[in-house]
Amino acid sequence: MTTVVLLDKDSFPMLISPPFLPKRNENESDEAYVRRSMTGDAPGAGAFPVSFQNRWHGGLHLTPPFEHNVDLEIRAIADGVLVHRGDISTKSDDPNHPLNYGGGWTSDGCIVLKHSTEIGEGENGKVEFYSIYHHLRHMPPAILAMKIGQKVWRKDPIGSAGYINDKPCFFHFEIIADDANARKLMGRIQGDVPLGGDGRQDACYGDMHFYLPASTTFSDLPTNPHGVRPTPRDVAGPGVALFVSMHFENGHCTMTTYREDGTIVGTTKDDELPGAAYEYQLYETATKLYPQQPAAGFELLRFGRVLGTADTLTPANAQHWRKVALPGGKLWVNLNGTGVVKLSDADFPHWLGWRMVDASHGDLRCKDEETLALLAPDVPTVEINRISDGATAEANAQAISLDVLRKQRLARTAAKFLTDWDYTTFERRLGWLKNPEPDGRGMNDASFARLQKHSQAVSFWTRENLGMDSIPWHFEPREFIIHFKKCRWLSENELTQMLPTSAMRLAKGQWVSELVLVSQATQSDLKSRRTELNKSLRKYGIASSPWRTAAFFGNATVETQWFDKLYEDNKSAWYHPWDGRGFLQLTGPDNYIKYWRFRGRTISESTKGELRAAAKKAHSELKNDALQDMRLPNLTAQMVQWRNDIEREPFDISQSAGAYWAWSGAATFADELPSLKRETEAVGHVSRAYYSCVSFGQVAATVNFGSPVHDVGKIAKVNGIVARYQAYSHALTVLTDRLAFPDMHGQPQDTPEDHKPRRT
Amino acid sequence: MTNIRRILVSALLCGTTSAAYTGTPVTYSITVHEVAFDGCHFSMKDFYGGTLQSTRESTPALANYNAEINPKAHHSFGTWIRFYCEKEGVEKAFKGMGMKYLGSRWVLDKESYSPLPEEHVAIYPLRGNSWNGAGLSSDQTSGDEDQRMRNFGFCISGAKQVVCGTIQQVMFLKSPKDSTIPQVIQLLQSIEFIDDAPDVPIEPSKASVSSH
Repeated sequence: MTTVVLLDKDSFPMLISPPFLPKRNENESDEAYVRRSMTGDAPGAGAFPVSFQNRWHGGLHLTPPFEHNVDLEIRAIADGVLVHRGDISTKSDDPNHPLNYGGGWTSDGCIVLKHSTEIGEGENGKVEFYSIYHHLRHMPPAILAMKIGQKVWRKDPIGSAGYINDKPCFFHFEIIADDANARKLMGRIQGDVPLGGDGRQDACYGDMHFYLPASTTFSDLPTNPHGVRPTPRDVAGPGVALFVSMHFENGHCTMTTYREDGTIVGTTKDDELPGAAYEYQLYETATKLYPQQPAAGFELLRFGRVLGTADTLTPANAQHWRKVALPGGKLWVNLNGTGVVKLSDADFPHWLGWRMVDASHGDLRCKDEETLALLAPDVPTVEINRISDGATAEANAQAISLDVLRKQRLARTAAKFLTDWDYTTFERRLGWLKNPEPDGRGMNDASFARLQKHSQAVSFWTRENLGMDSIPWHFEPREFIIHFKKCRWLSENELTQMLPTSAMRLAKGQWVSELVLVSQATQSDLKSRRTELNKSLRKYGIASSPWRTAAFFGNATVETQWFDKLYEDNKSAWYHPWDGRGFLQLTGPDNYIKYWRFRGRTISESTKGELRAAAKKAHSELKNDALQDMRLPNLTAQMVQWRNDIEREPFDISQSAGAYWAWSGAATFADELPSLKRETEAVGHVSRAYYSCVSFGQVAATVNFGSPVHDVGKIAKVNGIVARYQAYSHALTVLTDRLAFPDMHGQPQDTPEDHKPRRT
Repeated sequence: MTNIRRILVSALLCGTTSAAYTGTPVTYSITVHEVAFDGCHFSMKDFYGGTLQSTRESTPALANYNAEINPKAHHSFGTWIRFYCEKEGVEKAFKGMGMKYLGSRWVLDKESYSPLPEEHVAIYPLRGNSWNGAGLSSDQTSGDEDQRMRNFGFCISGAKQVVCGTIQQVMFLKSPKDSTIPQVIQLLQSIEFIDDAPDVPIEPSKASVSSH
């Protein structure tokens, strides 16, 4: 159901999903899911960026997946604002009707949403783009009742695919942005990624990429057990520039080496060490390899560079050795060595196919030679089942690889050209069709007039309704969605949405269910802490999957009493004043010291011993006298300041939580696909459902008890476990595309029972 | 002279705010803090021996005031004011805090904030030297009843600077006599913006909320 609220100017999160949301297959990657969800286009018939008659074509013609004998509805791809709704004309058999063109009826229902979102920090991180859903045959009542300027939420149904040139069940889907926003989205609007220096820092997400110049040297040391840095033993490299991508997933790290033309040289996984789970060990590796400043070392391992300024790499030229595939074999390379350039997916690497074409000065005929070459390759596509011998197999594999790259480059094209939807530019766009060309692409006056009427009937663009001129940048929607699904930079609105609208707790032995309200003060606090929280979620890999992010917020929201308290301030607790601080409520002197040491701060063993003994005494006495600052001679004013910082400095509030997440091994549990089990508690005379989940319960226990919890029997002892389950389920609905929550009959539903989204 | 003034003001304060205390008033000398962060710069008189510091490592930079305003309260708690520099204009700043100026008074901006009756929202006009503003308090409605708190958010607008802030706890709902809202208001109203002279003289009719 679509919820309508008043327009405001807040930006929305960079959470994005495909316009169709079929059931997700088990272990299906985001990319595979989006590709399976968005099918239908074909060269010459609704493909991007060039379609019929080699005309630029701004979007894709998609057909809905079929599920339970019905076509899936089209859904909003991201939170946004309705900027245009074109009414749906009744289908007519009149052959002269402007919408009966090109072989038959074309539906004219149209929705345009404006998405104001964020991909990173600062002004360059704030972006706007539009999604266009055209040729709809039906719109739900909630959309029809909506006023221009009202909010539409991601995953809200907005219509059904209609007809395109008499083909049923198709709609045109397009994503566009103006110059300024295309530049912010891609970091440039022309040419290749500059390789004279590291990539952008205002936005950094997805895979990390390294440019290795031809002069790069390598080492042939056979192994690199984490914690032992190999002594460089130079070996000549291939003598050509190469590109290496670093991809983290489910605890592992894959390094893929590319040539500049995009062909793959090879891959390595977890530095080819047996039994290693490289990502899960990042904290241990950072503390061993970069003992002077593990927190900065952690960033080096995660991003290939240190993005933050609070923690600096010590020494500044600390090395980052990784095993990579080269044309002649696999060798080690220092990715922080001289000449190596570090980038991320936010830089839209050209060797991975990303390109920008400015065709804004012409008509709609594509005259870009590279694009045309990609459309008509010299090497024909090869069918792999005709392979008979080894030599042919290799040649065919090469041809297939080149064919894949060709299609990829075509799909990863951002092109600026006249929109099809502005009738005032019709002559400029298509006037050339009046003059027959040698290839026969001409029209007589009558045909041209019919095309003109048809164009007018499907046009909607005015500068007023879209707020931009009619020569936008067009992005291939599939690639755009796949790409920005990796971003997960959360806006203020998104953070607030993460809070459940109600939660249960035990009060004097009885379950109660309470509304979770967000005060303006809490909202403002979130706003001021958001940048640092996002950076921490990114650094510790929490933002890299919805499962991890949901597991983090399922705990952080409860630990902080729905973001109200960043400091427990429990004067009666035996561990006060070392009580909970930060998003995951770091507690106890040992954890504080561990965090400070991670940040490169020197805490002597004697001080640690003194604090540990005091904590032991306080625990045994169940009172905090022994832990009071005045009773601890080794405790310095500086340490008291550092302790306070964990509640006062947004940097420490977030980093302490991220570091704790990393060293406690929470991700190992969070990465398991959630298996949600419906359970109930009686609240008064009403049975209230919630969803337990063993893997999340282990995360909660790990966070609550301070170390990995494999004994699932301990989950029930976690403080506020039911509220945590509710917060987790809620966060999953915010962050994922589609999940199955069993109802009381065991039937899968898209949302938890009694789910109420927080829509502010 | 300064010392005499401090003593006089201190004594006066004890007299005027003693109703908020449950025990013997604690007397502090007045300290004037000055803080600059993220484009905002102001001084604040501190009557409670607290600290006012800008953050050092965070983006955007904030300022934190911390004090134990009422240490002898039955159920004492620390007062922590988080200040942040609002860059998106006066109207949006106040809207973000759930308030707007209507006619001649501050009211709830129901477009941005629709509290429930049990949140007991209240608005407090604030006035300082060359600035105006308002604060809004609301009550927690969930969690352990004994631990529920009243919070306070505010914005103040000078000629060029707009500072907003929050205090997550100004009172335990169980101990209304120990509310620190009067002291918090006193602290806030002592704020003086520095380097806040308008670039061009502001006509009263165009001075937005700062002219009210």
